[in-house]
Amino acid sequence: MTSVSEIRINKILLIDDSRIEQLMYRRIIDRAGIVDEVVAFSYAEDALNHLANARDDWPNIILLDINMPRMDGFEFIAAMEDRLGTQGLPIVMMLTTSLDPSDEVRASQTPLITDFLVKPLTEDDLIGMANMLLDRGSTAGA
Amino acid sequence: MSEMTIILKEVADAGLGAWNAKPFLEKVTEIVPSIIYVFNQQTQSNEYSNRSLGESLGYTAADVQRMGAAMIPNLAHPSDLPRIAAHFQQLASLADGEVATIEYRMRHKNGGWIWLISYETVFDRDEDGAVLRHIGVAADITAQKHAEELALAEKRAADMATEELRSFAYAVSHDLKGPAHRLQLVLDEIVTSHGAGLEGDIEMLLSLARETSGQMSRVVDDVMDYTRVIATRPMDEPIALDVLMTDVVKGLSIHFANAVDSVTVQPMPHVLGDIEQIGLLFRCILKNALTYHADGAEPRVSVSSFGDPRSGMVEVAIQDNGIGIDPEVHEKVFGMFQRLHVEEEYPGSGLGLAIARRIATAHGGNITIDSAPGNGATFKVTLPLA
Repeated sequence: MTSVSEIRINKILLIDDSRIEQLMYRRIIDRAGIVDEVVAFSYAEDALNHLANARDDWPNIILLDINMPRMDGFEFIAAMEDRLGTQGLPIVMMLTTSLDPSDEVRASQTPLITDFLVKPLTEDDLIGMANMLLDRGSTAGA
Repeated sequence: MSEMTIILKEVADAGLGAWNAKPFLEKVTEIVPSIIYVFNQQTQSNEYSNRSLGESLGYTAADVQRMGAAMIPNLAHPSDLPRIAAHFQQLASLADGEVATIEYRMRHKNGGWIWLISYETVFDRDEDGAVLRHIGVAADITAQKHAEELALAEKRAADMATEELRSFAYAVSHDLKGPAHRLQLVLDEIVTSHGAGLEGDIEMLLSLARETSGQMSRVVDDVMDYTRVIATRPMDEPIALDVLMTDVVKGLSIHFANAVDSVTVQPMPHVLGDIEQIGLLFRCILKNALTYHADGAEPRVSVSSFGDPRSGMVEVAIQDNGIGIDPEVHEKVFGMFQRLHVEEEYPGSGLGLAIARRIATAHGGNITIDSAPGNGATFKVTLPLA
């Protein structure tokens, strides 16, 4: 049995070009009460620099928007693999308003993207992510 | 020289009249896939044909004989009969050397319709000069006709789909405008009526809601502009560019208080185009020029032009002192919903330059960018001179 206290996420990295959406997700995340820290970026490139500069402090989860200025979500994934490799990367959840089925297909074909969530983010989504981290931890420990 | 070349040379030297044309004609009439015939207008029957029309349509020699002169009225498509009758009338009054053509359908023995094209000309006349016989060539063009019909049907279907998408996009953006506007009204009313009693957090959330609904209205407006541009064929009228440009700048004063002082417009020639669309084009470019400048910097925009009578085009240059654009993304910025900045830095829908490019190309012109980061940008618009 998993006790409630074990369901936690240390750090979420939020990449979304809308400041208002960032604010709303922070509120949802705070309300869920299972996340210790949220770091947010409006430009994917800034988020990538953050990951490259803080290798010992990587988030557990990246919430990634698709349509953003300059570097979109898929370009971010490619750039991240280029710069950081594939080992020990956070779980990437694509979080989008896109209703374009080709985006979902593309996400499912991108190994580094774990899941495709259609906005808005819910507390249940966060609990699901925390459980995913638990599973991953127990697999890694076994 | 080959044997054939020798024969042809002899013919050329001796003249066509000295040549025995019989073997040539026999070969030609044997190998052409068309039906060649000589028709006697007095007896209303073929005096010669290289192959039987009836047999080409799948009927036996006995069938053809039984039908006799009634073959054409019997086998021709009923709706083609009046045209065939008119064609026969025309043949009787044909001048020498004149060729009459007609396309018509005949029923194949298997029940299908065969499209034929006939070319006919006077073969000889009686002592009074009336046409006695005409000579004709008939070819099967069924495959070509079917391909034409298919292409036409596909084009019609494609046109319909495009038209449907256009009106759909327009209707959607038009119908979104109402709710977007009403949402703004309701939010404003909450602030006006209860603003004083609202605590900090609700006030903050309300201001985010108003900001969002304002943003939605702007996107809806731009989508409507775009769909209107793609839905209408531009007019072709002479436009005094400098007058139009001055109007556009005045109109921008609602959003940019200093627009009139910031933009200088040089004298410019007349262009040919749609005044509403060209106005929208320059509004999009000027909005850009006034928007993307560093914090605290006063925008300075100059509009000048260079007419080239040889190419019949004028190049309008809109030069700003803004933040500039990396050459790597000069083409990308013309894509739909492509943005280089987040809403909080510089607001926008990502449609303005797509609209501008669309209008320029619809007028036979184009838009290009001359810019580097930090060095301002010059948008060059080419349009046809009036």
